[in-house]
Amino acid sequence: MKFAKVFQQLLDEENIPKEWMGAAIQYKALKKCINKVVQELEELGLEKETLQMLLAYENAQRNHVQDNTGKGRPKLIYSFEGTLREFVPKITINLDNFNGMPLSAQISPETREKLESLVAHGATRSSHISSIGNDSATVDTILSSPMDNEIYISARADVETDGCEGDTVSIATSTSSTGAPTAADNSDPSSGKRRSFDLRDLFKSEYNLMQSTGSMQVEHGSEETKGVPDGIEAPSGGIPSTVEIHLHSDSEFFKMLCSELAALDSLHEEQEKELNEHVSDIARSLPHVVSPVHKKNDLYVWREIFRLYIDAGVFFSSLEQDHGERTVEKAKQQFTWFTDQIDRMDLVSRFKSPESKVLLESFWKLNLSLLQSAQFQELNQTATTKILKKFDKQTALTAREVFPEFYFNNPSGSVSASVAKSVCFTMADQLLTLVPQLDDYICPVCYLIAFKPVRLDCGHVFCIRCLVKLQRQQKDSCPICRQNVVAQANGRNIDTALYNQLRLYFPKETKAKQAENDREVAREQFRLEEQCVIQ
Amino acid sequence: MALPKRIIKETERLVSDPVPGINAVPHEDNLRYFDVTVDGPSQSPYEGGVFKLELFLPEEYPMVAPKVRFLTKIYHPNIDKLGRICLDVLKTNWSPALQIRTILLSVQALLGAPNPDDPLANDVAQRWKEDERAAISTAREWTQTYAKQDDV
Repeated sequence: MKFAKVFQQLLDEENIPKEWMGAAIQYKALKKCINKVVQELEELGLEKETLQMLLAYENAQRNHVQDNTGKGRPKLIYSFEGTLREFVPKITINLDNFNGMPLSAQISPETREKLESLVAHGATRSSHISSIGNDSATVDTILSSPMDNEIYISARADVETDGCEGDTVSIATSTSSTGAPTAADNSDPSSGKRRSFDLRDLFKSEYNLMQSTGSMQVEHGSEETKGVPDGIEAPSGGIPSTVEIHLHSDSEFFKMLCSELAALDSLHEEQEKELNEHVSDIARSLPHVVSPVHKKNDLYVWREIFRLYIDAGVFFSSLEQDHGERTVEKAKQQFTWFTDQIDRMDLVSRFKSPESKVLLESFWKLNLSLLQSAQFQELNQTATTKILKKFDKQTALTAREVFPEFYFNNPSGSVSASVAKSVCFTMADQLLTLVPQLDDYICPVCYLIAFKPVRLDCGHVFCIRCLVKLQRQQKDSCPICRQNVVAQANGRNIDTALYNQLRLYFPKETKAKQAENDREVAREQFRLEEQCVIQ
Repeated sequence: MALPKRIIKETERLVSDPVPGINAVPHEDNLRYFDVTVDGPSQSPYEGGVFKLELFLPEEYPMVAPKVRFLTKIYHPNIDKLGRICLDVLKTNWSPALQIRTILLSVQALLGAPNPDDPLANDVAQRWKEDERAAISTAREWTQTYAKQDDV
């Protein structure tokens, strides 16, 4: 099935709220836009096969040691320039200065031909666009005399319908003169500029296409400054020059994608805020029912619920084999496991306070909203990946590689972290901490509650029984950090605050541990006596 | 005597959250005795091998270290013919906060970093020092011969 259909179907099935739908990636519209890019590339003679060839060559070059002959230069680069608000995707092709050909002869004759015709294409295209007429295209082509070896071709099409300014279809070619460029050419750009203006005037009269001279001048100024340094920086000998192609539909595609990603980001931000508030709401009410100070509290039930929730690792796994963020599908499974466990253990019936039940429902809803949000986010991520893949497949350009880098490295482009990550952090920070878990208070030696707690001078806490055993073995190093602090420990190392806290929050466990400690002491004494008898 | 909580918890976690490349299963009739397999670390001469070990938790565990021994023949300067392992954390540097999983990780790390200056198998250590290349190649051969999964 086509992804466009699958995508729509999934959006429908998941009961995504209507107000979110507007922010979903417009997969179909973007797909149509790709067709336009393909068409535009074809008109320029840059069919998929041609681009593929150039890109394949570039990739091969990357893996080799680059030489000084200029052959090592990438032949074709696809890149994004500018900020997120104002950027142009562009295709840059390096040309050989001898014949205006792409570097090296390792490309097929057809490709050569196509690129050869590119320069001339500007002129052809101008007549083509002028014949369309209705989208107010201005095409302006400047050809300096062939003797100068300076060619600036720039075709500009202003399409007013989408209201975007500066949509440019421009082919800017600058070929510096063979061998050493003449000093005059490079050191006196103003003369060059004047010359091009003259030439443009010439074109103006010839094609009668100029509609906005002002903007054209700016355009030309910039094109020219691009061209001139190229000539200067290149060493004499094989001087490569470049053709830069800015496609109108290409910009349109990525501007559309960017604005959609931005809309998604702001939606996610909103959801994140809402869900975090939801967490805070529960966190404000929960102390009423779990506080051990109240006689009828639900401390143990909530501890069990949160322990199950932590074990489930609904959104993030902390296991060795699959740690990290889970897929939405897996998260749903884990959440189902969690709710099943609560049912199975019949925890709700153990609630003493009716408020607990309300809070559990609220907690349940919070997780469902979070799952839905994560689902929506994942769907859009898939759609974005797919559309970029499609773009690459149809045009042979490298958007999948270049665009995410451009988008996410851009300071104004928000790093769209997952909503789940943020909300889970708030949960762990504000909510789960309200009910201390036993695992956080166990002695690292016997794995029972660290009671009575002894805090060594290094800061590590053990139960008094294990510490006594260590001292008896005359081990002086702390089991955790190996500092020599065991022997010097005595009564002052009992952590009274922790002692009281453990008694308050873990009354059952501390009692059991105390009994266990007593039993062990008794056993030891008995054994000693027994030994005495035998002796 | 009943199994201490600590051993029960460790065993549970070894099953529910196993360490990749390490497998430890207790005997049904003696829950202090474990059958262990450790994968040879990648980039080492033991890569591709699966090594069998036995691990026993003495009565005093965790106040004393577990007893660990290789059952699979292995060519390594710190492991002798009987499979005994020269590893500080199994001897003097044992700490009761260490666990079965951390000890087995140390054993696996030892395979990746042989230390011929602190030898247990003297002949192997000497060869390791004199002709490391040949020693590594022997270790690789032994891995192929004795530690292939089919034999385990």
